[in-house]
Amino acid sequence: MHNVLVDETKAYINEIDSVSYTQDQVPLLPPLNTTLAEKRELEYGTLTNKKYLVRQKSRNLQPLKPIKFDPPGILISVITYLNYLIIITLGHVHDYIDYYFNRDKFRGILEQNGIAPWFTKFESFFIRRMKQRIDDCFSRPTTGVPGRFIRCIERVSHNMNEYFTYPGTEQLCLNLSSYNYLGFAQSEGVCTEYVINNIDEWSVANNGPRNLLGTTKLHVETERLVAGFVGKQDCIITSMGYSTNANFFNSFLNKNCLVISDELNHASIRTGVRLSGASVKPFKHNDMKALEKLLREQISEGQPKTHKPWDKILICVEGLFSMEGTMCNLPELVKLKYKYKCYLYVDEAHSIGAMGPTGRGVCEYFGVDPNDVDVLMGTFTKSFGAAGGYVAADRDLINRLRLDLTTQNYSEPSPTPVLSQIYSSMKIIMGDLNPGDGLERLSRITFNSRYLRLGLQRLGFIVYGIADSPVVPLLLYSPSKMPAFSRLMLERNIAVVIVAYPATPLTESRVRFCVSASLIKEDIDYVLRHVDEVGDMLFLKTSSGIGGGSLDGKPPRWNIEDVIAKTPEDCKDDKYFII
Amino acid sequence: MMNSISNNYTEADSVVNKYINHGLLLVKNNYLTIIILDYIKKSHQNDPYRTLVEVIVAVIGLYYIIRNSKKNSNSKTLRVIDNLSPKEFDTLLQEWEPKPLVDALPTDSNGKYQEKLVELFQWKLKKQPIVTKFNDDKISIITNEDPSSEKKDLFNLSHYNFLKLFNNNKYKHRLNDLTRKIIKNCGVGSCGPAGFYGNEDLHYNLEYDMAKFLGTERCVLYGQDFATISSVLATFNKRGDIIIADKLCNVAIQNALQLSRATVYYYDHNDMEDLERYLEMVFEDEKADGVLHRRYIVTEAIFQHNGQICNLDKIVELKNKYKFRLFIDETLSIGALGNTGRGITEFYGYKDRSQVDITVGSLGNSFSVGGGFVAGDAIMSFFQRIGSNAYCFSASLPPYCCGVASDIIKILDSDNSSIIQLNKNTQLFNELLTKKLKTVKSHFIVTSNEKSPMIVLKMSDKFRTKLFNSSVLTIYEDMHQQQTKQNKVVIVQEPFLLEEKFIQEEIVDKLIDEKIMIGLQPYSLQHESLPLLPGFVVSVDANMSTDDIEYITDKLCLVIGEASKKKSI
Repeated sequence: MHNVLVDETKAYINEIDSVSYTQDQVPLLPPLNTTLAEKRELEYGTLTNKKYLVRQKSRNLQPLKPIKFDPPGILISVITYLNYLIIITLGHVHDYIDYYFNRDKFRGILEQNGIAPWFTKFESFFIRRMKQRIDDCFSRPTTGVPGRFIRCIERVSHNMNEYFTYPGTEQLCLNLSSYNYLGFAQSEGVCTEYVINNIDEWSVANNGPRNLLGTTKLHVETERLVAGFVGKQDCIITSMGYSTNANFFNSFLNKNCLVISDELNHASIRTGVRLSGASVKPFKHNDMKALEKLLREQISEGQPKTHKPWDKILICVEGLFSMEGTMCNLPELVKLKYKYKCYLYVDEAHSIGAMGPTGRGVCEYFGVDPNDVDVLMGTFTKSFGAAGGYVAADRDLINRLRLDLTTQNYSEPSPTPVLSQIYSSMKIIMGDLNPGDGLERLSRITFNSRYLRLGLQRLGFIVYGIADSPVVPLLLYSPSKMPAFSRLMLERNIAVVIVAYPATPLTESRVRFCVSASLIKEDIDYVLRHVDEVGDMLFLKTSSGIGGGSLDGKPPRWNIEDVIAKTPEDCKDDKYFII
Repeated sequence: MMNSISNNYTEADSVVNKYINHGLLLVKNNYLTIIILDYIKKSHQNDPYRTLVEVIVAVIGLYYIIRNSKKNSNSKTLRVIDNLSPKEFDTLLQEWEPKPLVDALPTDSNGKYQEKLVELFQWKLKKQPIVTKFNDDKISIITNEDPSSEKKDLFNLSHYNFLKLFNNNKYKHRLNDLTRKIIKNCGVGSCGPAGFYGNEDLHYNLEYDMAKFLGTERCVLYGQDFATISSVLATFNKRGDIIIADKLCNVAIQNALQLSRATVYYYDHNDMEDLERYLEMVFEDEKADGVLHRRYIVTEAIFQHNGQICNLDKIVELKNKYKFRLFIDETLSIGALGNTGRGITEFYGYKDRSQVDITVGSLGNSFSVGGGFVAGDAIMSFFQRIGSNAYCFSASLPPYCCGVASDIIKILDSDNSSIIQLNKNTQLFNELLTKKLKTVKSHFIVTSNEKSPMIVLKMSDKFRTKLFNSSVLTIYEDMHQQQTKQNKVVIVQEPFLLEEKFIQEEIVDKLIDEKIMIGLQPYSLQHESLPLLPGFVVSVDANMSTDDIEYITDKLCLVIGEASKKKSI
């Protein structure tokens, strides 16, 4: 009986592989026909030379210098604004013509049978006339592992991205788009074996919310491991990173509390704080003077209208800002926190795993004791190749939250494979599993980040962020350069992410390279060569040198061959960076 | 010496004079100046009053500018910090005593710990069960209270996974093998948000499959069911829009209503007359105003609080009459209601979902893999992909969840035996339970609908008064007072904890001795803005045999009967 079932299952699985598809839907592609060694190489490149490793150093409480953002120059600013002006004007002209001559197109945003549209014409203008024009650069369907290479499914755009068709072919691209910082997006190796073994032992199915009967021994063990890793007494794991933030603040903040938030904080923090009903005051990104001024003002002022003192003040920052590549100035923040009796909340979504000499996040990077930060939050999506998030704090606090958090009581728990991936990848970073591997990954990502950043700066691009940050944003400014850059890079088999308003300020459209430990030095060479070419075509080399890349203050415009010859050694030295 | 200085002065003077002359000449001979002067001259000649009017306008404009700038500078000096010397500020800072970040233990409204509460709170924390082993349908658990003694092989009745396909002998291997196969091909995480290379072919195909399964145009996937609802409602609502919601909606919807900024009216739980009253009111108001706002009716299919099922027929009729959109949260009902698991519409005999404008469902309950989805028309889905925060700003689901969910849809499409079995079990369980509860003179009442696989039991009010000296009214009043005070942080959990402790000790613990695991309904009391009462959940699943159901209902009623005999505690 059992055998028959297994056979049926196998037959079924084979059937899925050869499933047919229609052209207007994303096809299911079969796995690549490669040997195991080739597959490994595609997911995680083998290190070519021991030279290409850099250990991150702890800053030993030394605060960050004020960041110098390279100004784009008047010409670029004018072009950018002009560009927006043209797009918006043309959009309105199109709208006007369509409204009178092509009413069919407008069906979705007009009143129908007495029911208001989902979005009005005005609300949807940005989406229809600006975002849709470059939709082919977003949501590219992929398949397989988002490792060193990513398999993009090719698509053909029709009628200004109104719809796509899929010829069923694929394109293998170098992956600078996924948050695969430590290269744990793998389908081979120690982690995957561990996950597969745990599937056999534990059910894949989840068993309802954590507080009903969803907590398994795996949850308890993983929480203990994570708490130890980040240096806190206890932690709670939730099944989605966004939701960790969005449903966290309402458990302990109310309208008598104040949240002082960095202006560039992630949307999830903003949602969470809004849900809590607390007052919010933003301060200029990473400006500690502005923060102190604001704190003094708010403490003396108290609550609006009643002028009662605030119940508590919480400073919310991100460890590594995902769009800027900058870090919070933790030593200064801790000082301010103690001086003004505030609480400090650090969102380590991007920094955990990727920053610090042993990957333990911003606290380790700055040499700050994790106990000086009240709440450390992070996600497992990025460095660990899993999903979900955690909140780590003192045991008393976490115990209280275990019963109070809505995610604990109403949402599904993290499933077994995800927990196993977190557990095994964290053990590798700590060196307990597969010794040496974790250290190599950490050293590789640091080298790759530094090499790519310094290389781009020397070529003359405006690049934000501190030396060791794996997020390398290259500024494009003009909105029409975004699709151009993205398409040109895709032609060259490089997958990149472009970001614009509302994730960045309106005039600072950018391309974001997410460096991974799975890339090798030769991959970065390849990227630099092609970005150099594209940069010349799109007139992107406009840096003045004050943001990095030059020691004498002159605008750096290095030759690509010189960059590749010299930068791998130079990037190990801090003097070339502004940090 | 002096001479040279004066010489220098005269020299400088002449240079300045030269420049002034030059400048004046420039101004005089400037094309623009000539035009302006010419204009003034001409207008004065034609209409002398006009110059007067223009001068007056200019003076008033100047006055406004000066006044406003004065006002602004005044408001700046009003800030407290500018009037404080640094020393004064330091004393102020020293005197300020912020409250602790989170009260580690429950306190009353004066911030004092009550010993009894602390004890209850710690007891509840320690009572949280931890699963140590899944053995097909049976589970083993331990609690933090007593980690050494493992309770083995209990019937698992404490879950929302009604279909239990992963334990179904027919599909167990197929689903587990598929999970393994996808992880071997795609890894675990998707490592990116949906907008940036995070959506794989498996994600897209689950969206197609789910839309086809439910009979909608499109479907959008989210990373977690709980986050889905609040995100999607907030996307399509802004100030001025109107939501009419059921009073007993779950916390996810309550959060959504808070985030949406819309005007919210609550109708009495499942009371269609009350709903119609509100609909009519809003409809007339809007007609009078002449402004068309987005209007929604928000309800749950199976209510998480009490297991009731919403009256879809009537709601659809009303919605069409008053031109409202319908939002249904099918978190518990997808895969559990209807003959093929298509949820509430199939349950009420609708062919497709054209009457439901937004359907939100969970992949974490009957599908038991994790994640949430929103199904609806193409335009809504298109706008959602850029406007919905939980979709744009979070990583997409692990690919294996999508692949397995797609396969579960295929299973449900081709073979609905497990749902038929589930419906049969639910019916049998409910029949037996009601029959047997009568014989034991139970003080616990089934509040759920007889078709709902999640059976909820709550204490009768008479019994509550007898044991705890509190009633529904006093509990509601207590909660209402605390909520109006907005003292969310220090909310007292007393009306609940004692009752919960009673249920836990008298029913749950005793059932564990009988090898049955049921669960207290989980609550975050301080997040609930609506009245609720504690209860416990008994979930029916498709894998139960008739003997199991006989045994479970027997024991359940026995234990409930015992507990109902309590005179006092």
